[in-house]
Amino acid sequence: MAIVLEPSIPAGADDRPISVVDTGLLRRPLESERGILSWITTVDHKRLGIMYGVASMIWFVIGGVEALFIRLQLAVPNNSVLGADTYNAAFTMHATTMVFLVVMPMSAAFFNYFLPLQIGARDVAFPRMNAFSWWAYFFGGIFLYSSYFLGGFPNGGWFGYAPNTSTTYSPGHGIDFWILGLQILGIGSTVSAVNFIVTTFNMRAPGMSFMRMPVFAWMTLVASFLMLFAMPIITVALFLLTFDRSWGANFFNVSQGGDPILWQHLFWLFGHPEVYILILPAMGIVSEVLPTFARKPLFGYPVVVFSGIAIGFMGWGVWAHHMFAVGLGTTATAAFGVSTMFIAVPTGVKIFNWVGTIWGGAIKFTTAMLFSVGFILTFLIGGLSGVTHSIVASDTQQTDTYYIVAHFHYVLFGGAIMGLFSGIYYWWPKIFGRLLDEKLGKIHWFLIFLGTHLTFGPMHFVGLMGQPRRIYRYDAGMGFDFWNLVETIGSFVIAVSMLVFFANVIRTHRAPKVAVPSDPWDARTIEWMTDNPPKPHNFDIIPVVHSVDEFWHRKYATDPDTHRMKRVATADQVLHHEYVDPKSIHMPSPSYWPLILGFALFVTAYGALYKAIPLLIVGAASIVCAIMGWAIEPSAAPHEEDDLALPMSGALAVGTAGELTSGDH
Amino acid sequence: MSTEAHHVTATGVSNEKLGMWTFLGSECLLFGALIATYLNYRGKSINGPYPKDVYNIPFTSASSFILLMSSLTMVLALSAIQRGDNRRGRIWLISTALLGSTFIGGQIYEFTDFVGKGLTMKTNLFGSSFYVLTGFHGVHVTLGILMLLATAFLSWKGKINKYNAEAVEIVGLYWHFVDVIWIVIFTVVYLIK
Amino acid sequence: MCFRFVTRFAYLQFLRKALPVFFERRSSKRSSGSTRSALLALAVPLVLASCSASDKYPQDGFSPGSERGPYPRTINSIAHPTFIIAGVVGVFVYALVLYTVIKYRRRTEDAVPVQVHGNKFVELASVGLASLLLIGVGVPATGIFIDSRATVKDAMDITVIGHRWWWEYRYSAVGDQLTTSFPRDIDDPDDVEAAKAENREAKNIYGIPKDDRAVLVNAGELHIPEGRDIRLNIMSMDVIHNYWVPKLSGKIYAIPGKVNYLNIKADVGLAKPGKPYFLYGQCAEFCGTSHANMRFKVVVQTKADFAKWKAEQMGPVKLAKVPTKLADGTVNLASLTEKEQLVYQGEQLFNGSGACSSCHYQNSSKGWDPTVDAGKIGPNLTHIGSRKHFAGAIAPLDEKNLTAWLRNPQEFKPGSLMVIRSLKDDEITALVAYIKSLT
Ligand code: HEA
Ligand code: HEA
Ligand code: HEC
Ligand code: CUA
Ligand SMILES: [Cu+2]
Repeated sequence: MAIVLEPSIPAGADDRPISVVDTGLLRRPLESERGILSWITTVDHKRLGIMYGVASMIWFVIGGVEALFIRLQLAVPNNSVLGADTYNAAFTMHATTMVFLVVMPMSAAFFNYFLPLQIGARDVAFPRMNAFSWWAYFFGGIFLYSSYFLGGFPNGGWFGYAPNTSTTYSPGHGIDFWILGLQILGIGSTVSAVNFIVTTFNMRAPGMSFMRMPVFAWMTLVASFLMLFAMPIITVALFLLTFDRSWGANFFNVSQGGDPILWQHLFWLFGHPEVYILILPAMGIVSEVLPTFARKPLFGYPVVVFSGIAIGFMGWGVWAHHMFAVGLGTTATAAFGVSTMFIAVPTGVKIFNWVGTIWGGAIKFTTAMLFSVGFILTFLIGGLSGVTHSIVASDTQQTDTYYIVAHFHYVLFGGAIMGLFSGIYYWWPKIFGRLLDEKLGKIHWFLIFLGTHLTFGPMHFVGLMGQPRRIYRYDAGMGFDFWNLVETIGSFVIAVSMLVFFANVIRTHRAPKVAVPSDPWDARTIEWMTDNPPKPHNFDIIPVVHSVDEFWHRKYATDPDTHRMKRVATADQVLHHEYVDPKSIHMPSPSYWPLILGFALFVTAYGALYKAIPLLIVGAASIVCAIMGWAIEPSAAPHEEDDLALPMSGALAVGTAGELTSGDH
Repeated sequence: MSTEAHHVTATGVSNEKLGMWTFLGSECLLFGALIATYLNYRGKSINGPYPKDVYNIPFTSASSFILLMSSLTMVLALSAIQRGDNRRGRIWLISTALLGSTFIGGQIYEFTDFVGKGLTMKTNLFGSSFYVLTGFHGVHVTLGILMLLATAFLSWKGKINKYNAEAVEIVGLYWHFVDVIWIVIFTVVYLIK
Repeated sequence: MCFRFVTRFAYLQFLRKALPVFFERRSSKRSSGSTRSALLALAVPLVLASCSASDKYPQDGFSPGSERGPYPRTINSIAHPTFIIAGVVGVFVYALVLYTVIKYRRRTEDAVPVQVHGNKFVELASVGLASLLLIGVGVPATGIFIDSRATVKDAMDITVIGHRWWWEYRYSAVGDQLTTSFPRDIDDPDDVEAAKAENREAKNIYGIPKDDRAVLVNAGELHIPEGRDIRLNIMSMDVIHNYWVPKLSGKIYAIPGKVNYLNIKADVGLAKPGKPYFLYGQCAEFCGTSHANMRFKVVVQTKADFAKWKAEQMGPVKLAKVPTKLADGTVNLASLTEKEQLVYQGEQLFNGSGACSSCHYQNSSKGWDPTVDAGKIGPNLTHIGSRKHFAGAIAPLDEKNLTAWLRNPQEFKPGSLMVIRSLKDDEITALVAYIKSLT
């Protein structure tokens, strides 16, 4: 119910018109412009995007500091910075944080902010559910980390193999925090996935057919589908483990015939699609940045899109490549090896098309562009090492060594994080109306690029020389010493690069505000066809789309003489601001319910963790109340407009319009 | 539907309906994983009671039949409300909820009966996977009943009528889904030897 | 087998021609299929030659020449070409990207390049080329993998059991076949099921078969004879572990409730008579607190040495020399030498009530009783004094380390399940002397 329309229900005998003074259970907060209240009750996709961005950046520092502790401990042989259990907790939390609290939500930050803008919508399909996803993320993270004060961090590794995570072998509540934290986060992700899918299908601007959608929007869609189908699988796996741990079930209890391998199948059936959930958004960003700074359209747009879809599909058929040492049947294992190998094809297609995009272009080396090129160059190495894992026989030597750690940091850090930073630099002026300093940006890029290779490059060597992963110490004389020290130094180079980035942000925002040009990069897609930052309703007039690079085609046209592209309009001319009365466009009012529902989940999770029945009942009751309150909440604050009070939940409320123009009211 | 006409979406399907369809897609995987778990452990229990020791197939068939019938009343409820016959719509909605509750009652009876026969979640793999799978389905049915009652209540308050009957349609989608899943579960859990 | 043919003879011959530099160095070391043993003779000198270099990396099974058995060599015969292909692709794309970004950098601010939207040929070619490369690697890779799973005839069985955080080994007394109830062919479902059913009836729920004919049980160090095909039957008593000797083979999980198999074989010539050759191994799957300390050694011996070792190990525990009794019935410690006194006291402590023997089994003169041993949570200590390393092979077995171990096992090895009362210094001295005496 994003954009509220005038009700048009004719009064009939039995059809009583909907009450106009309905306030629901809680008065909807007013649409105030500032103040903390306006942030915690917001349902605006742009604000939520910023909130995702800020929160994930904070978690990134936390997860990164955990990584620095890991690296400190491993800097020299038999070091004692961290004890065994602390170290195990450190990498468990590091990975869980980076995957679930950093990369996924940072991608969600971009989904939130740019999906509606890129497809020409005023908001997402379900704004309150969108806010709820954020709160689930917020409380999920807090819940996970509250374990520190309540008996210690989980320490079962990020894929928590049973039966090591059963109560027999992991007593205490650490693992329970991990399970329930992931459950809360999973609910949030599933809800987001539904939201983004419906938004993409339903809210595209006039003319924006699927094959005219920017690639980032496409990758959002594919990643959302992956989330939609992958999340329930880990939900089930985690439930099984919860029933084992808290209610005495036998799923992974070997003495009752339980099967620890089932956990692995379920986890990796989620886990592999998950890694593509992590990388596809970054690939989408790169596919936006490269064309912009090469001033050329994306090479082979349909192929890039279909390869993204192909990755999404193939990602479901390769999970057992994480289980090559399990001793599954020979045929099955061999088949998974082959299917894994062939994922290189669609990914390779992307890489070659990116090269094709910049080939023959006029490349401008902004920081965003450097990060995108850096993405290609680092991800490539990670992808190629991935292919070497897919050779089953050789993976039996590589698995569970630092060679794997090298692989996934190249794709996750060198890939996902680099791609996301590319997006940060590229879209910063759009979000904040200020340009990040390019010089500091380039220093940031240089240091992070250097640091990545220093940190994760040598992991290939030590891995192949036999350093297993997840060891809190190693002996001297194994040949590991030198490279481990280099890795530690490298990780601090990354830390310094991040400090440069934060300095850049602070400097940029301390400086007196200069009006940023409306089109600082000579961009191509329609999110740039509005103000920086955009108004709450995004576009005064929703653009009608004629091609993939709509904005570009409004600025450039073919010169009939030379048959080459020539600039015909400035960005500001394209952006001709027509006056539209902002009152005539109704954006959904803020709401307390997403926060309340998120908090109710949080409370319930503690109840479930401690098996505290009263708390569970209170939690469950507040969930039900929150949903009810949510469902009968009117769609706008009462003072504003007489509106259609919507029956049932947000999910059932009256829909929104993709093509709403200001004249509609 | 008249409201829809004002809320043109790019696909022509309302957000809410599409949202429910999408969500049900996710639910398929949820039950898929649970059913897969059940199948993985079928016949693997190392001590009894085994399924044959506890099942009362005629009873469960009857309650399954009741659940199936509730899909019919759901269809009737929707068509009544779409016709504008809100009173009858409410009756059918409540009947649906009652049939669903009967099913849940049957399930509660069945669980109690099984526990009495010595089968708990802790007893063996069959106990664990049986209770978790059917329990999850039971929770879904219960949520559906709550939704049905809420819809009936809103209709009684006059907030649901033929112009926004889509709300009922969406609840119906969910309800039919839960029914269909039961057919699968019933077959897998009770019928396949 | 078709795969075998493609792998061994067609494709690799082709690669050998195509990549002469690479294979020149390695060709004589590669052992393959039926010619394996013949090639071994050739391999020995080369392996020895590269010994010194690769001992700097005792867990390296990847570098050419680092292998100490045929299995990692086979693995590397596919791994190395794959790495080369990946490297070539990598260098090619790197060069392409760098060339592109330098060549096509923006020279004038308002330059507008030709708006190329794609090129069917380039797009298809990239798909085709990548697929071809992958098929080229994938076919032999699959073949090699399938071969590596093959059941080796007449292999010697050793059971390997993972415990938190040490490895237990069981050898058979009668011939080399440990038991009949491990499935011989893991790809035959009937065989696997039959074995499982049998295991279920066995005393031990973790699948130690009831007709386990093991008589020799030790921990931490896997002794094997050189040049002998060995099949490890790998299981776990608690959580999932991962058995890995990089220079002998790839990894395989030790999973509770499941038996996994690993073929290994050590090259002839590594060990000298009386001088075994040590290889490093480590648990590679995270298994809890002391996962990092779950290491082990493989001790390769000549056939004669191995036989001798086995005979010794099958003997019962060495009893301490008993002091004479005094007239009043108390013992006359003075009848023993000082060292003998310590050993005697150590033995008394060890077997005292609620002491070491409650967790550690020792074979008596009646032989080995699996029903008792399997119930104990610590390693079998019958011949502990003959081991070179202990506590998950994280430390050499000497007085200093043993003293530290007995003073505080959890400090020595975090999380260790050896929970004991705190011992007095003289008790520790006595126990250490006793342990050392148990050769
Ligand atoms: C962003 C996340 C991400 C991405 C994109 C990938 C991409 C790939 N991954 Fe990775 N992977 C992880 C994250 C990711 N992975 C993580 C987190 C783990 C470890 C989990 C854990 O154990 O903790 C892991 C582990 C992992 C394993 C298990 C290793 C083990 O534990 O034993 C394997 C095995 O096959 C694998 C394979 C691959 C492959 C083949 C790809 C392919 O998609 C890569 C394809 C890309 C290219 C190949 C490069 C470009 C292509 C060309 C230039 C074309 C030409 C190339 C050729 C013809 C070769 N990965
Ligand atoms: C997206 C995912 C992601 C990211 C970004 C990273 C980032 C990093 N990772 Fe991590 N990692 C994983 C995912 C990720 N990792 C996963 C899944 C595992 C497997 C865990 C398991 O086995 O269960 C793993 C495991 C893992 C290990 C192996 C542990 C082991 O097996 O024993 C190591 C070791 O070096 C490591 C290091 C690092 C380092 C140095 C970084 C760096 O890049 C971090 C850089 C960030 C910073 C340095 C913080 C930046 C900010 C500051 C420092 C500002 C300063 C602050 C103040 C002044 C207040 N990671
Ligand atoms: C609570 C059970 C328990 C008790 C009591 C116990 N141990 Fe242990 N012991 C273990 C376990 C478990 C291990 C394996 C520890 C490891 O390597 O992680 C072990 C290992 C050892 C080892 C190393 C064996 C090897 O090959 O690695 C020695 C030596 C040892 N114990 C001696 C003793 C002595 C002497 C005592 C009596 C003072 C004793 N133990 C009492 C459980 C126990
Ligand atoms: Cu055992 Cu790690
Ligand atoms: Cu994977």
